[in-house]
Amino acid sequence: MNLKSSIRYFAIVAALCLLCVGMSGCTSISSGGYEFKSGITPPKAVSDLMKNGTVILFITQNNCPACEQARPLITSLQSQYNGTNVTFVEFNIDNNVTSRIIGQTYGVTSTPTTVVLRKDGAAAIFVGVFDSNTVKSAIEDARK
Amino acid sequence: MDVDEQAKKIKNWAKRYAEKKGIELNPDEGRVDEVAKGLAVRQEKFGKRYCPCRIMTGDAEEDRKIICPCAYHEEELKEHGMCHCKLFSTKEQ
Repeated sequence: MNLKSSIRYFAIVAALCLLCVGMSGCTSISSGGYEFKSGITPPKAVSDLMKNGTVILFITQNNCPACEQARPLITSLQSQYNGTNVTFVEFNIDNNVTSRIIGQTYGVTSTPTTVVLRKDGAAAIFVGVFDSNTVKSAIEDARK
Repeated sequence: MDVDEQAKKIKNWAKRYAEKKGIELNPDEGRVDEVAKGLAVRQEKFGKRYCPCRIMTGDAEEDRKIICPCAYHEEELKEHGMCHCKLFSTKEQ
């Protein structure tokens, strides 16, 4: 392989890498097993909430047993952050279009899905009945 | 058929399915009843047992994957010992 074709080869590889990063969004992986994914534009209903600090979205739907199983966990976390700038909001996708749009924005395919939002909009997404300690770590990371 | 009656039928079906597959229903019977009711509500509303913890897209082809037993339950049982809806579990649970 001569110099010219080597340069062309590396340029193609670099372009493909950049394309992959662009398509997947930037992620920062924590040691806690979750990642904050950036590149998602929060819908207005969410960005309005983010003005007050860290936001936790609890996305549910009707007749969802796993949502009911996770509800006490989210309630417990909510009480632990009572009086802080962490806001917990439930969006039931069966209830209104806004909730459905929020679900679509964060790629929700099953419920419950819990989204921890950092100030810059980066989101750590937990699908199903979550581990409270892991979500709490994500909230603490988001507050930094 | 009302939803409660439908839920009973679904629970019986789920028991038979679990036996056939060598798996079990969630030992938490209350949870099984809730899932069966969620499935019954969706059967009543949409005509099929769509998983109550998954989001229907409106695309029939895509939504076929989430008719209980869904396309994902075997993988979830292998990975987590339970399906996402917490209806089925592996025997080790």
